[in-house]
Amino acid sequence: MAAVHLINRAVATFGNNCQRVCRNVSFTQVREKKRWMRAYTRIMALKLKLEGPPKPTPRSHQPNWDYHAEVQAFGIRLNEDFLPDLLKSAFVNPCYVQAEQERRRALGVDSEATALTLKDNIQLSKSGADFTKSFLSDWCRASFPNMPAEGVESIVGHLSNPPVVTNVAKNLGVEDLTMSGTFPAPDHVLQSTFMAVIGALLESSSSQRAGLFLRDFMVTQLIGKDLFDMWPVVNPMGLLVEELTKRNIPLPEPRLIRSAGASTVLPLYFVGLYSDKKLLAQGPGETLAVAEEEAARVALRKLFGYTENRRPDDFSPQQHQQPMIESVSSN
Amino acid sequence: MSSFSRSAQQWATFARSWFLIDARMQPPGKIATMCSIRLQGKHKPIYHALSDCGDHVVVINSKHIAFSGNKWEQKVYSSHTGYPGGFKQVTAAQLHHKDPKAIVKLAVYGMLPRNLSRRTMMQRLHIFPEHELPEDIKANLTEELPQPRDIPRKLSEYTQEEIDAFPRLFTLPEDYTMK
Amino acid sequence: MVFLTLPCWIRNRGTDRFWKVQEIVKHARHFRGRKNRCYRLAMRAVRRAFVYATKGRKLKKRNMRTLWISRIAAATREHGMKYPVLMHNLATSSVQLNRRVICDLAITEPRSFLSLAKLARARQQEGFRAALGDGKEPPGVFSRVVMLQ
Repeated sequence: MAAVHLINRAVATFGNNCQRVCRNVSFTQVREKKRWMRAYTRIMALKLKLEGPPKPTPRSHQPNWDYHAEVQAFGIRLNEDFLPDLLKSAFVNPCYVQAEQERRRALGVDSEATALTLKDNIQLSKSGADFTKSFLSDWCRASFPNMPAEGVESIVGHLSNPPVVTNVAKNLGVEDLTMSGTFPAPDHVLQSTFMAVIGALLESSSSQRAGLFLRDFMVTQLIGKDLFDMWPVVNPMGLLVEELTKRNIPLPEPRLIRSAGASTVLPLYFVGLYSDKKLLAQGPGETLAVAEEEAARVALRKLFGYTENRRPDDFSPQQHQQPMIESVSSN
Repeated sequence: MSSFSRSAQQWATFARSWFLIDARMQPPGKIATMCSIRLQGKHKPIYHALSDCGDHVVVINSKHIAFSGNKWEQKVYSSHTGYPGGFKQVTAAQLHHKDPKAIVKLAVYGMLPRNLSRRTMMQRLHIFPEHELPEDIKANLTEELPQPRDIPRKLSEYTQEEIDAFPRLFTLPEDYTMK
Repeated sequence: MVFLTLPCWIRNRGTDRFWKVQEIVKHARHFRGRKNRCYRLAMRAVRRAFVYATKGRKLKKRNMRTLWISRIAAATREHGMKYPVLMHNLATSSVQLNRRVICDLAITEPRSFLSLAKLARARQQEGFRAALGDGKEPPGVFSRVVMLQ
């Protein structure tokens, strides 16, 4: 400490030359609580209470943002070959083009001299949405051959409705790249952007690559999902009877097979559905009617091959995907 | 078998089942062990001490329990009323004569963990001195548990042929007189 | 240190009491009674709480293992075996699942657990036969009895 003090003195007495050497050394460093901190934190807390949390800023308004590099990185991150111009136009939404034009008009920029040459993603989005729908329904039909058309439709509907698609899009980082009129981008804009990305992939590579992309990112959203969460069946017993008559199986007869605490407020009944004296399915419930309905649902899941313990879907990245895709397209 | 909906699965997992135990000619300690395991829910893989997953247990024929040895005379149940000179001691036979449910109940109570849920678990124990059950409890029952001890046959239950055919160590002489 | 003025020097004495108190009291805000606002009481309670937390970190491992064991024991008895029998025979059959995984299997995958129990039962029977001198293997079959003994 004494030596430092001496140097300090020396700096004070000798010229500027030495001072530059020691400028960054602070001799009056104090390790304690900052006195201004109490007042400052109080003011900040008050401000937070009055104004609420600050609005989110888009990533493009923050430092270190290079749009071109980000777009390229997007394709590389997903291990897909996109045409850069196509991918860029896939991120441009019509609402952004409109907003941009209005902004220019407000600024008084001559629309003739500096025309806005931005192509929006309506075409790409449409082709992507069509491809997604056809691929997903083909995939469902190939994976669950016993599923009726309504079931396939509802599964596809679940996979392509905004919450699921926007979730996937956000997790793939589409949100930061999206050019939208408003920030944060609303769900339908994100959805159409994601569809446009799929459309761009379809045009840049092949339909097979796009199919694998959909399989890897959209179909995986089915994992852990119950069939009847996606497909609201009001009368499962009626549907079961319909399906069984289609397959020429005798109609199901419900039988009470187990019960516990029948006279308490928390009873449990197990109802088994027997068809031709063979147990189709059993289901638990708090009343006989609920248990019977549950048993019918279990029987339907078994019929359609959508049970919880079914064989896991094949998501392996190897080339022996070829047969699956062919079987899909042949269906 | 698990393709149930989530709500149904939950309901079936956490439903309380009702066990029936016949205590005729059984040692109360063995009965109490079975009861306390079921009351705590320790027979379920989902057991957790705080999750209150115990089942109901119905014990019938508690009047006909069997103590081994000379426990009826020698086993002493002590209590204290809290007043001076209030220390009470009764033998098992006296207690059983006064209340035929008490011995099983005390044995189970002593085997449950000493915590706040002990009384709640005891409320799920239903003891009946004879084998008749009220209708509402009979409707609840799920399963009867096997008895821990085989009931020995009484001499009066053997027929005369079986007694005659029973192997004997020795035969008494004709002129033998019993004292 | 250079003291420029008297008020500066006066302000400079000691640490800021407010912050000293806050550092302790922020850990005691959820406590019951005056402990959650009075420094003297809070300090004692927080120190005790931290001691408990330190001990609890060790105890938690022990308690979890006890819980797994009681759950496995419950599931094993459903299949007519006892816990030590299951664990010993699984170990001798080179099944290297720990208690946490076996417990998870018992809860979420009863069928997998049943097959484990069957494996242990088969191993136990094999061991009995070997101990009774009747451990003859079928010809041309390498058995675990031979391998592991």
